Amino acid sequence: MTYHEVDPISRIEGHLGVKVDVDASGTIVEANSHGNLWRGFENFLIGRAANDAITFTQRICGVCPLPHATASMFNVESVLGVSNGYITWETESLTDQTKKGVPAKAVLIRNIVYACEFLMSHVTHFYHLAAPSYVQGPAISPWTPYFANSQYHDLLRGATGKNALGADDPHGLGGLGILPDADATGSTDLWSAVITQYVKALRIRRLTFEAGALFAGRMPMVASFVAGGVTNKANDASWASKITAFKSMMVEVANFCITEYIPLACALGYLYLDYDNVANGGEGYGAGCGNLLAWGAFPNTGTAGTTTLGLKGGYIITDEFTQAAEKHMFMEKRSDTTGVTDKGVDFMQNRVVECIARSNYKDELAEFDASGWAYPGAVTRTIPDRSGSESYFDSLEDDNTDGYSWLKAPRIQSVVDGNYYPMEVGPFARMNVNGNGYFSTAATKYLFLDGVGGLTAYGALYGKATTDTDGVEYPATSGNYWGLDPAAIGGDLAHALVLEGAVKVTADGAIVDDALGLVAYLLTMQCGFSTMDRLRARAIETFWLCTWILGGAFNKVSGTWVPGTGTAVGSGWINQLSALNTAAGYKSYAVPAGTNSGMGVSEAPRGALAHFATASSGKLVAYQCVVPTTWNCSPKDGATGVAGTKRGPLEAAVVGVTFEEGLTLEVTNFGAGDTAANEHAESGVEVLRIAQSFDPCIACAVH
Amino acid sequence: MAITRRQFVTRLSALAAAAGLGQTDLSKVTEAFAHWNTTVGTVKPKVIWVHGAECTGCSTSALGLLEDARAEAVPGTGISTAAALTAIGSSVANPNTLDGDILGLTVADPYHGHRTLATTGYALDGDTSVTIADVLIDFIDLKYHETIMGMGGDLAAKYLLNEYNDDGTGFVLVVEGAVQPNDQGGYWGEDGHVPWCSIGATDNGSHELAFDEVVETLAGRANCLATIAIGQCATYGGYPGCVGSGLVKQSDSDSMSQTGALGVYDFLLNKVGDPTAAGKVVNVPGCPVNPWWFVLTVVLFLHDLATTGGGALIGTDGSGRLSNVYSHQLHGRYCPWYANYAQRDFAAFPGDDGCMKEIGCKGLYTMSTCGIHGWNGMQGTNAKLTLESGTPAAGLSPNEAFCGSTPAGEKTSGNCLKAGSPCKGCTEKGYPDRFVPFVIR
Repeated sequence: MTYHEVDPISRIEGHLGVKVDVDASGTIVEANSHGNLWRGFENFLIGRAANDAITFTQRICGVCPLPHATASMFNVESVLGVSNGYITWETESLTDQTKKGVPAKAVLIRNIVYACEFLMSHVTHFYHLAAPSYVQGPAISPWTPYFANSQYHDLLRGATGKNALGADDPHGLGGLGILPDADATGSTDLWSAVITQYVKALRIRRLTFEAGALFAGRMPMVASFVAGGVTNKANDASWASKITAFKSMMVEVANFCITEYIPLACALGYLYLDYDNVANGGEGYGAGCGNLLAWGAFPNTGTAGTTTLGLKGGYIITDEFTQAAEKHMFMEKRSDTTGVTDKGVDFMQNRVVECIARSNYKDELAEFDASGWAYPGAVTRTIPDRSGSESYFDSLEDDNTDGYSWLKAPRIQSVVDGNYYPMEVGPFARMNVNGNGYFSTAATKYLFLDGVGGLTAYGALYGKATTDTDGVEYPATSGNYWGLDPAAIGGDLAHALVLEGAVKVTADGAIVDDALGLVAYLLTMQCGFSTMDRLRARAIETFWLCTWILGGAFNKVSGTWVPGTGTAVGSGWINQLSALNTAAGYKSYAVPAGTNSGMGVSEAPRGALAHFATASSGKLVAYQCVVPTTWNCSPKDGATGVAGTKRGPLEAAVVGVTFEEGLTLEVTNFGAGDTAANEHAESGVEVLRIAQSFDPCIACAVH
Repeated sequence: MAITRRQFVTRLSALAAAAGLGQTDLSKVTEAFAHWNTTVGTVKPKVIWVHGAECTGCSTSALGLLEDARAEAVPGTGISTAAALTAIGSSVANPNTLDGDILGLTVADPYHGHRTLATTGYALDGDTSVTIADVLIDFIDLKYHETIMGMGGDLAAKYLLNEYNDDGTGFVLVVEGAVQPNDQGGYWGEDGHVPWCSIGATDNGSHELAFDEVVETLAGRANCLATIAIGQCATYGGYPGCVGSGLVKQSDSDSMSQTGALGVYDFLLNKVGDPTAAGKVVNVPGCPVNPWWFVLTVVLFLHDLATTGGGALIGTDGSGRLSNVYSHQLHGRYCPWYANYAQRDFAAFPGDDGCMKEIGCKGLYTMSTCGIHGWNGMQGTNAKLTLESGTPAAGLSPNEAFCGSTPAGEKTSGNCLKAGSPCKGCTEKGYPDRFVPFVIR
């Protein structure tokens, strides 16, 4: 048995490390995921005006401030009597205090700004955070030093990669590996296409911020969210300009997501098949805990009986990844009220539990039972405990009861068997809870591209039937792909694949040589549990977000997103909003007397987020956050190796994976005066890839 | 990617000038870049960026950098890029190629190739803007930044430890996040051995690498040329340093903040007792920081290095900020609601028309360039808006449409006030505690 510390997990938000025990065969047999920061947000919120939580909790995380703004806003609104808790819907009356909710204008601005951040976060995650673990960057800092060359796929290496036909140095760079290579039409190889996308993605993420800032004042931390609505003033002289500008920028974002981000995220699974699910021929690295949770987000406007959440909430506990042993949906419609068993508020009060047995917190408060469990809504203080483990590099076998993380361990208590289960949250969980992944019917388990079922929107978008006569002509060097429509796949990416020799097609569109097997893979791609499924689900979610924001659809003939028209519900949030310049965005409510408890939920880009609060006459007396990465990267909920103790989802995801030991690094010289040159450093790239697929945000998780 | 290093330097100089430097000083900025080569020994300034008790919001914000260098940099100065080019004395025959003489670079420079991106179809933002890609590739040599760098795990930890050794290479340390001294127990008096914040472990695994040790060591190195504290947390302690007003003080605690978190200057001077290291600290507050404040501060720092050899930072105010960057009281003619203020027209609730003084606005106490420069590409002179944002409403220029203008006709820009939100004072020492409640509703 050897043990390794993979810390810092880079290209995530915040301070995370994963400590692993590796057996003689090289398999990871135990793992401790530990968050390495604590600031005490929940405690220093106590005593403050409830509404200030919206500003404060955004500073829990600068990568996902909007989810905290939204969850805390919903939370504060429930405490201040603006809503019934969980999520704030549109109000039926601007003056009647008994008709809870906020104006439609506020609902739409909140959704739009929030969705902009979703898009920023997803694009940033894939290109700037996750991709450099699979794609060798340009040969300059900050992308050097690299991991060992052998740990990158040949097609995704800059310096000494091989093309799809096995030829060396396809980039013609003499091993320099700095510049992407291009001809007049586009990138000449896959690596160059990806590096080009990396740079372009910097622009795309910036546009999402600029678009959102038109209504939020600035991003990332927004100022315009307030309990009761938004601060935006009516009769904005530049309203029409802002709507136009927003659409213009968002169409570019949508086009990037459809033609570049989603196809690349899907192709990546084939190049790193170990990290793909078993159904796709992979090893299922990083499968996780097999349990999925989403609270839901994006309330739509409209009448109470029919209005639904954009992203619905629910949870699934699976039987060894194969079938849903337990599935419940939460509040789905505006007409779903509180007090319904297992719907929203009641569920959270009674079924969400946090454990601090292995966390750096004291359980001396009355709210905690003897094993360190408590209901978060009831916890009034979070008291740090720095005694932890003395020996940093001990094997996990010898260190099985100490606290080791600043994260708590949230769990869901099963309605069926009463046991506590860790839950994976995030886009993959949302996709399955919403019925678009594995746990819908068997016939629809294909992600997309099958052209026969599943997400028909995706099938129609990317699939190109033999009878398709959309008139799109692809450059002569590439021809048409049967099954993969080049109009919906970035021309640059497709061009690069053809030039690489990965795919050859005839003039009439038949595939004569799928040298890499990539097309066949994409056509039959299925949903399952793996590292890659998280990356794909995240990418595919951008399709939904663009649809909701802009309305309309991507047009393959014109090669661009065509936004919806009109201002009715369903025409796109921005179109609905365009008619509301003169409408009020804020509804005043009197601060209720006495002590009130409440809660609010949302979906951060990286998963389910819940805030709980108690306020007395509008001043906070308790505040607790149960945050996406607290679920995903949670520590164990008891002593290691003891029956009943469950690992957190990330810990479960790395156990069983082969840890490649003893790799010397391709670039070991750190610079002039280097004393560590040629020193052995473990790469831990497997752990990095799996951890990054959760899109962890540790500042959130520890708060 | 879109512009050459020389153009970038030139534009930064123009804007530095606009922020208050005299015309005669402009060329010194270019000299500063040459200085890095001849004196410090590296082509681009080496930067080590470490994260402590923070949220990565400042990094996230910085990635959104967009500056249009064509227009007047700061309203009222009349300095354009073209003027700045003349002032510096542009004698380069082909401005799209690297001028080895001025910058002291040679064709063999391994980074040289990047500048050809602009001529090979990768100029994504045209040839007039400065984005984060320019900064990352052409401007700085960013050796360590946990959110961006390629390496991770053991490799990254070893790299950081290697930087403890004084190898003679000058570098700029950027600290994002507050420092929580390991021996302070915070509000709860918890002074055990588990650090409040750590990055990996020491080589022999004897202990976790506590963040306060990282800052103390790196900032204390002789070759640390400057320590730039980015954001509220790193400058003045920010949110981690604020006090839980509703908790009763513990008798045995040594701090009213939860973890005893401090700003970098305070930590180095009062906790470490290293006035030399503290003297190199430049504060760039904001929550988050505006990318432009950060870039402008770095430019002015380089100017200082060129003119004085460093160590005598120009124009810092009482809060350790560069006064040229935090130059304007937000309350004033660049506030879009100033006319309402002048007419005593006050908003009574969020969303109500009028000056927001009565519902919590802190613009009276806030020094920043939010009003004249702004956020997310919406600076008052950013002609780029016409390229990205479609057609403005009838009768409005893009600047008027997206940035608005004051009653006196000056262009303002994107900020909290433009969204009808009161200023929260996030650039000021004492934020957030001094400025709550933020919104009175």
